[in-house]
Amino acid sequence: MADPVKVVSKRFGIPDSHTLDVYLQHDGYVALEKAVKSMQPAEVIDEVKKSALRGRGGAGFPTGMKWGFVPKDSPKPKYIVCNADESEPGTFKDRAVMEFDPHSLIEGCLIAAYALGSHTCYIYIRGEYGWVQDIMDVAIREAYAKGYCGKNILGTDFSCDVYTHPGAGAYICGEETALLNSLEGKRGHPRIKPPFPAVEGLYGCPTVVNNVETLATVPWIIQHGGDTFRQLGTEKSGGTRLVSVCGHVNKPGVYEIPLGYPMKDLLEKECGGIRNGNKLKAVIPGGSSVPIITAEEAYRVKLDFESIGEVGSMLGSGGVIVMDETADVFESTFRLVHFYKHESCGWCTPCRDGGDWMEQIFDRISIGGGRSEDLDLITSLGRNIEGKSHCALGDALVWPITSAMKKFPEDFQRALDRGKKLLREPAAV
Amino acid sequence: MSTDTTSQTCTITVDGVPVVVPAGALLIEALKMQGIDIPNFCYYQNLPAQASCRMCLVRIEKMPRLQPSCTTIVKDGMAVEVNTPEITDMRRGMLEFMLADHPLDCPVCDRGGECELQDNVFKFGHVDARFTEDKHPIPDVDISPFIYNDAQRCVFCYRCVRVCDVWMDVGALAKLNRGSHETIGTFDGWLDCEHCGNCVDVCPTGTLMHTSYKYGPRPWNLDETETTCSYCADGCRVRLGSRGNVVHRSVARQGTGINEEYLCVKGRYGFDYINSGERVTQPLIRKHGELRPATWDDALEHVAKRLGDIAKAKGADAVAVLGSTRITNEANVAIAIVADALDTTQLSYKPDFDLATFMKSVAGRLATKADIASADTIFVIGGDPKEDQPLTAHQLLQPVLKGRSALYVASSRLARIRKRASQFVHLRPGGEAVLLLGLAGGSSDVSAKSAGCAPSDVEALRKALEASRRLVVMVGSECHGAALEAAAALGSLLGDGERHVTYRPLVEDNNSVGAYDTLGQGVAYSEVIGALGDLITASTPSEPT
Repeated sequence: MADPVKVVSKRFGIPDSHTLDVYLQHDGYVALEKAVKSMQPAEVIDEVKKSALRGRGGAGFPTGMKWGFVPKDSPKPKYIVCNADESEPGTFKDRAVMEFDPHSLIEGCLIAAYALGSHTCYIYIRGEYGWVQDIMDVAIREAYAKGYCGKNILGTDFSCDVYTHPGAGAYICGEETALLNSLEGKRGHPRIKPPFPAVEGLYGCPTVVNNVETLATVPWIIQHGGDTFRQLGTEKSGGTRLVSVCGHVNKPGVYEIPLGYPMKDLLEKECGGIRNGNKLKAVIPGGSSVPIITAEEAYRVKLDFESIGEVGSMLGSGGVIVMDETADVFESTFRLVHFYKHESCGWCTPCRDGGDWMEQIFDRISIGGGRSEDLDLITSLGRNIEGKSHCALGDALVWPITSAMKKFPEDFQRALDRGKKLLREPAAV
Repeated sequence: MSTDTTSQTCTITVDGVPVVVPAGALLIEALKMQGIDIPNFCYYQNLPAQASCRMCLVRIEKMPRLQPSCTTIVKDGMAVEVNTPEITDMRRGMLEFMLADHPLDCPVCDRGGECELQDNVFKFGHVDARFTEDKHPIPDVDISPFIYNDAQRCVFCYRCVRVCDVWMDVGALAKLNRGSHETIGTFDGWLDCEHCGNCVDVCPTGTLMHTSYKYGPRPWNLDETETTCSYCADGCRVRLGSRGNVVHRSVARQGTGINEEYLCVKGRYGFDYINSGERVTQPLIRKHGELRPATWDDALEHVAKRLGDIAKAKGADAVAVLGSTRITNEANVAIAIVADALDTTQLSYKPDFDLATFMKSVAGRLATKADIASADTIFVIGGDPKEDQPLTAHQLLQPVLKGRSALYVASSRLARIRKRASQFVHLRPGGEAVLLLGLAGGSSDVSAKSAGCAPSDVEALRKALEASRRLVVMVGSECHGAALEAAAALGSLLGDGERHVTYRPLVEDNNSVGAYDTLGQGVAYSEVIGALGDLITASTPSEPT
């Protein structure tokens, strides 16, 4: 297979790739110039639609379609909000984009703003990414100084401001409407949908919320054309995407792969195989909230939205968590349950109370208090949470649990048996 | 299925049965009209949608997830399932979650018997509890002398928070912490608010409760009497809960009065005088300097004889008869009959507001609730509706908070209503008349100087009032004489343009207008009592005891 084309990561690894000078040497702001000088806003949207680009934040919603939902004739101002609140455990690709190629994100924001008639972009950056915000701020200042941001961009009538805003460390603020609330200075609660942000978003105005990688991909699409991008991937999932691989591989890191790339190749070629030559046990293919898959499934699955759906999981945010045979899936699931319980915003009943209950059961099992009926109880509670919560966090709590119980029942059984063993053999005093 | 646009209805299918519902209604309301009660906690009429309790989820055809019926608008042809095993299980599940960390202390909870959580668990819940883990106990705390917070009983419907924000515009309650640690609480542990107690009334569980009703009689043991609050001219409907001769609480949850479910601090907590041991509950006759209990017959005979003696000795007019602004029209009419029988001309009452002057001068009709709701500008002069007529303040704030009307306040007091005023003019006491003169086209310099404000204030206020098209003028009791006359005729004094002006006198007592109607034709109070009248009444209560 030929060396795959790099879209988002093509400037990664170039010295000083975060500076404007280096960015300009490598096709920087070419797409912006092309868009604002030679394209109509509708053409930009069409190009993105043609590219079959799907949101890289987790849900995989087609970006062009999302942009198309913004009412053209609304008298209200429109906003572009970049979701840089990358908090999904196992995901760190957006951080790489902002660290190594901040200008591609700014350019993507500006092109999106041009396409949608917006004059303000906010980049909402995860609170823990303090230094990333510094990098973005410096890049934005550079762009202002050279006339790529601000008034009359590149001598045209198009004006647009770009701001960064730090989150305060809540996972829920990665949910787009909670992010908007947080950006408005309110408590980060997901809003009731509909209305969707495209109609009533930030400050009640039409808003597009896109992931960092999604926006950073847009300049390449405008420069090279939507069809070219689409051909890099599969029919339904266009282009390439970043995946961040962590866990028990020899070379964890951020890799750009064309959609439809085999997971086996990713693990063995890019990541240099499983550590210590161990056997692969399980993979969480798209950030911690998607269902876990077994080694056997991982070796036959391809990394695109459809193929991964066939094994009952999702591509999600591209955070691939690899576990080898030394891992205990019960313990890893317990860790995730704790995370989701801790990050539940408390808005709705199933996620708030269900998550707490669930964690308490896992906690009890892990210290040897497991009961034979616990697995049924967990399944039943999961059924009461899944699909009933206010936002997707409730589902994100349940999916890892139910999939882990289904695919690794032996780990759960072992955890339950631990209690019986403890009863037989009292701890030495 | 077709939409009948003329009658504004549409047809939806509920569990396979087609029903006709009003178009544009919320599903939960539409179902309620059909007699189908969807259990819910966070949904509440007149409060913004919340969709957090997840009790009201229903299955709507073609929707992948269950949908909250409290945020879904009915559409023609919508097929809804509300009574399937799936929904039943879901409701059980939600109630199980709510009860998981609940103290289950119904036997000592004062909400027991009228608790929505209890009712819903009885109707829809599990028989047995599967939760065997540890609960997170939170002790109950007094957050004010009137209200205590038992946070562990909370189901997080946020009705209290929304009521405080939206109805009251106070925002004293908030959600603290996150996830399973969250509680409803105040900002520094103490409730900094008007103490209207509406948060307690809307609470579906025993979380926020009246301290005065703590460990009081169970709700089903209370005799509930619907009556009218006797504090101000708004006349809110209250329901007094009493057992034996003791009144235990005052609530408005039935929502049948003009106040709907609103009560202010006076109506809610100002009832303890009823239970006071110092009340005079039977006739007393003073003999040898000592008040002694007497029968009504003896007392009436005694009074009649004494009054007759005085009239005989000093003439009929030596006896004055005073009505009151705090008693009913019937009582005032009866008092007039007594005066007539005594043949005295000295019949009067102590007004709290110079309605005689106001009624003589008023240049339009009195403002109704609808006028206030539809006004584009509300001008309050010489009073504070938050003090004088809290319900009026509540009603006028609703359009102001929604940005549909603008509020202007001019007062010598730092009126609390000024918080939401577009402009507040702080007057020198007695400066109302000169300000109104300035508004009516007089020199703003002269007006401002005498009224104790800046000329630009007067200018700005005049511009705002002249720009109004539907103006409500609220005249407070600080306006006297010329100020009252000018305020009551402000609509005809303002220049420029057509506008619809209505007036609201901010009378303070509960039957000021009735007293004016029944006794207003009599002698002026000052003539009856003389110049010392105010001094005399200052040391003796004007209310009938």
